[in-house]
Amino acid sequence: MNEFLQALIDGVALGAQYALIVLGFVVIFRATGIINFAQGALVLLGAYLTYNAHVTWGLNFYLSILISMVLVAAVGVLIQRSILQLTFRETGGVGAGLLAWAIAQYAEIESWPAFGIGIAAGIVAWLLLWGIERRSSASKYNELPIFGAVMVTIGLLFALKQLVASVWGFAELTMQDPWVLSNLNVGDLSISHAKLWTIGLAIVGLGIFFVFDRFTKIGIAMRAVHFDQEAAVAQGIPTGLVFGVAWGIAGAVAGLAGATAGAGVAQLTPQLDLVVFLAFPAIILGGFDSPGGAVVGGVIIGVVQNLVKVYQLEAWGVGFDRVGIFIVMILVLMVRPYGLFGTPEVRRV
Amino acid sequence: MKTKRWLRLLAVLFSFALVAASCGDDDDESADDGDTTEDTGDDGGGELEEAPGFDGETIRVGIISDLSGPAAVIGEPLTNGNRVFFEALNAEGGIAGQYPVELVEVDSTYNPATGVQVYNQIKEDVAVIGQILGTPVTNAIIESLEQDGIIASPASLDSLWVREPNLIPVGAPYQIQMINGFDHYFNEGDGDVDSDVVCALVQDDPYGEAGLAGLEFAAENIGFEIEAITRYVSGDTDFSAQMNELEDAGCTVNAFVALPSVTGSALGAAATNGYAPQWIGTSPTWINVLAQSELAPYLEANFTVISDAPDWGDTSVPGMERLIADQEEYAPDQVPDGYFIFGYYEAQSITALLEKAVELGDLSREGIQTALEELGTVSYGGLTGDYTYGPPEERVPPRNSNIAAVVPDAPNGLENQTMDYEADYVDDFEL
Amino acid sequence: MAVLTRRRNHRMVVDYADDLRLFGTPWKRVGLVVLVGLYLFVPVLFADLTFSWLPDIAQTAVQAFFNLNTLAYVGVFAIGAIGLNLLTGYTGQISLGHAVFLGVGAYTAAYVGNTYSWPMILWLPAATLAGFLVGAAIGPFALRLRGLYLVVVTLGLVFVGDHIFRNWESVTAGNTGVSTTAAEPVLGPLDFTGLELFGHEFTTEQSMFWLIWFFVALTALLVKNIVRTRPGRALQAIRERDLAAEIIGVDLSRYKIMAFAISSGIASLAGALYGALQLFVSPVDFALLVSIQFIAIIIIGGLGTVYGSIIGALLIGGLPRIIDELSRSQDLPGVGGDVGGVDGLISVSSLNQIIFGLAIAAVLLIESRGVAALWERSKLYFRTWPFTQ
Repeated sequence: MNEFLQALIDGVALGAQYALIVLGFVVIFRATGIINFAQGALVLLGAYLTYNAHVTWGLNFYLSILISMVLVAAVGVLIQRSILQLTFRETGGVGAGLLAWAIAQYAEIESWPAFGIGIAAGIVAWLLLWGIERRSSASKYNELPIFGAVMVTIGLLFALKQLVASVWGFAELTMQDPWVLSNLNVGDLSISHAKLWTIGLAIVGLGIFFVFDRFTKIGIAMRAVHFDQEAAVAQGIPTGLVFGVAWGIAGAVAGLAGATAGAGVAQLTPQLDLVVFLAFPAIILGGFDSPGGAVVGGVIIGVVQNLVKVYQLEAWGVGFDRVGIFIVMILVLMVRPYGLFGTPEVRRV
Repeated sequence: MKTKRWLRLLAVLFSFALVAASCGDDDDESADDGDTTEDTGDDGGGELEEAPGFDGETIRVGIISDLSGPAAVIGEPLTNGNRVFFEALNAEGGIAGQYPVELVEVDSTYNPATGVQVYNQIKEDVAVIGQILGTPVTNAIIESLEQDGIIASPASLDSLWVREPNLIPVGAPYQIQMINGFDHYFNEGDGDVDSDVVCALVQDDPYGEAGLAGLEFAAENIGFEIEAITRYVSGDTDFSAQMNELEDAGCTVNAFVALPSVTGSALGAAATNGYAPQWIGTSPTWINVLAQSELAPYLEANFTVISDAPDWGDTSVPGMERLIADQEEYAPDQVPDGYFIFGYYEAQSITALLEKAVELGDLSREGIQTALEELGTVSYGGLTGDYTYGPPEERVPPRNSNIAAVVPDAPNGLENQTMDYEADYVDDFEL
Repeated sequence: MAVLTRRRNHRMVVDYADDLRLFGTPWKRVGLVVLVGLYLFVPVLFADLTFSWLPDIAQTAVQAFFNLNTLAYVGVFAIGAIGLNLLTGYTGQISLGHAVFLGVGAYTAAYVGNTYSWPMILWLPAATLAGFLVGAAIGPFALRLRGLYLVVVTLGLVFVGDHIFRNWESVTAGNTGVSTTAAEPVLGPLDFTGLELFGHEFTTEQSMFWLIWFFVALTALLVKNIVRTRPGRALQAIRERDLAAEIIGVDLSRYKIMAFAISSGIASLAGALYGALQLFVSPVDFALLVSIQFIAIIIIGGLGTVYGSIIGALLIGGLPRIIDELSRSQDLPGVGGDVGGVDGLISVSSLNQIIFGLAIAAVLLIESRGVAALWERSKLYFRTWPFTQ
């Protein structure tokens, strides 16, 4: 019995981790209709930024998490505004800026002037492209189909991940979190502080999100956009803002998920982003467009994975827990093709 | 019919092309041959004939490392070790004092598929491969090595390599490490065959199985049972389930065969649970960063690492004295690191091989193969045990190991407690 | 009548046969001849050309790209991508599980080669058939799932496949991986590990180039024939709107399963050839990343075009090699340089992946329908000139 309870609690902690990751996916999917594969890179970035704030800058760990959440949220908004919103000139501007900055770095110009050069180049490129667009009367917006947008996020996953690895290196880093190597004993059960904090932070984070979602204007606007984008636009809801906010929220939860995933001794490596692929069954289980489902799905998948890991037969092969969750997912989908809490698509002929 | 006329044209062209293709090839080949002979004739300075990776002056050596994958933390110092040795060698003129070595470095990202592809990219360009990092990557490249007749040095201590005709391995295999480690624990250390419960936590791949084979051999000879074996797949980060299993089985001494990224999470989970058995790890379980982490006290008390290498800076070992001198001159930024030592002596084996080939007067693929067969015993100045090369079935790898404890203040976090330990029966282990 | 047909502009289609023409215009015929010429001559010519007249950097780039080994891998990519395009581009079923079918092909070839020493005339069809059957078995899942849900289920397929590859040791040799040399690329008198024709010996690279690109042409032709005839129109109807397709009489389950099966069969063919190139395969060869690469190839090349798959494969397969070679030979500042990040800002493989990622994004931002659409657009521009808007 104790073994079972232990496995259950560890599973819930894993599930809390998944729930945070899944929420990032769901928020973006609900607003914009795309699966954001770059979420893994955002989680990675969140982990490294927390490390940087805590270890390199020597700030308080919890403050570092907060800083990381804010920064990753900013990156999320930037990605959405410049790349996915997709005005030719904004993308080109950001691209030129980054290029100029990189060249300045190679030329070993100090970082602040280099930054200035990058911004200046970005603005010049923006103006130039703006002029070209005006003259060529090319369409102002290059509509990116949903599939294309998903692919762009895959591209960003590669690029962002390697950028993070280039800045912080490939070697294992230690987060130096206050939770390390300590645990709480209840009877025969032992729960590490890191897991307790993961569960706690996930509850707080998800709680704040649900309050935001239900009771603020922009939260309600997000749901309106999800139900019917055109009607929402007709009602005067600024969809651009809603998309940006969705990416911001996804970035913030990625920051939180990254901080908890990277905690521990020598745990922080550029491979950390792979955890998001294991969260996919949770997304499916909960339904792509249901934040509540994200939590339930995350916890169920976490518990299932851990129980399988503890109780699986040896003949099933090492690492069957990772496959088990996908099998559970496929079974659920065969019965309910839109997950447990997803909205069935109404199809009219 | 008319509409098909162009198809006929195509057919005619096709046959023309075939003939032309074969003629073209003929021209190329004869031209090629002419070039080669001419060049060697012109080149009065070099006594040796040109060969792939050798232009008469410089010998090019391929390095297939992991510089941006999960084993990059190993690949970086390892490659640096290669580089420092060859730079120091080049300063003295190079191989046999006259042929400087140039490294051609590629990145496998510890991925076997990528490994084969980067190998294919450089194979025309190099005389030998001076490093292939990782058992899985080496496994994947062996077939290609055989097809191309190229010799390579694997930077992993798998016993499979000993009998591979196209590999020039160094060091005592993982099996030997585990045998010596456990024999030392039970005969000279705190171990007690009657009261200790032996278990293992190993990676679910050939590397893990290699360590396990050594443990099983030690169990037979010392006379203990292996109570439980838990495995993990690379990429696992939560080890609480495995630790609970080991703790529940009452294990008091565990073999640990893993990659360095796992040591922190696995032993961290054990430390968190207050589970403190003796851990005996193979050499790749250690990275320096562990010595500075919160886990260091736990490791100090409970962790033993088996390796070939002497302590960093232990100048009583002749090879180490030279290594430190070279490192200070050519890579002053390099922090003390066991993999740097590995890379350094791995380069010595390649140098010995190439010098033999020069001595035999043939740096071609076949010439280097012959050189490996006739190489005999190579000594590494105490950086690792002497290795006797030759035809695959006659090779004799070293069978001694150093037993190190974690000492956070030591240069690379490890300090050898016993040097050159060799179990009595280790020679009986079939490699 | 005959006179009339000959004078008619080739773009004017008057009957079904016209509509079906593969090489309807004179330019396309010229193009075909050029392609066949390239196919035959590239291995011979580019083996020895040094391009010394080019500036240094361009020389390295061209050499890296026209390296026969690079082009052989590109060919394998192209075959797999053509198969995936049939499923994703023409039928609209997005699959992230393509890597698994490559694995099925490679492992089948290795198994029948190792166990029964079958010759190529048998192992290649066996591998293809295995993929075809597994695909047909997976197909029914797609009947019930749509869009992103199908994406995630096929993602799950990668994990399941990986687990099977790692644990079915009697066939796949588990984590270690298995040598594929027993499945020899030998077809009767033609030994593609070193072709001997007209009394001349060719290298392995040259021979494999001919072998693989022959199959590229074959699959391209096969898929082209499927999509321009009745089944192809059914598939495209499903892509546009499956409900409507069903109503006009397209048997949804039959065609969806067919698309899955054929696409997987082609992937397995690619996988078997990949094994013949690689000589050794292990589960890592068929990881999620490979699936993502294939998706990237067909999106960048152009969904729903056969030649787009080949262009995409050339880009995705060739670009990393060029970057690799350039950074190795040219000492790009900050790249690699001193390994281990001692001096370098970024490793070669990182730079590669960043450029790969940004290239995907950039192509889609410039033309979201891929390179093929860019080509069509520029063709249209010149055809309608000077009335181009």
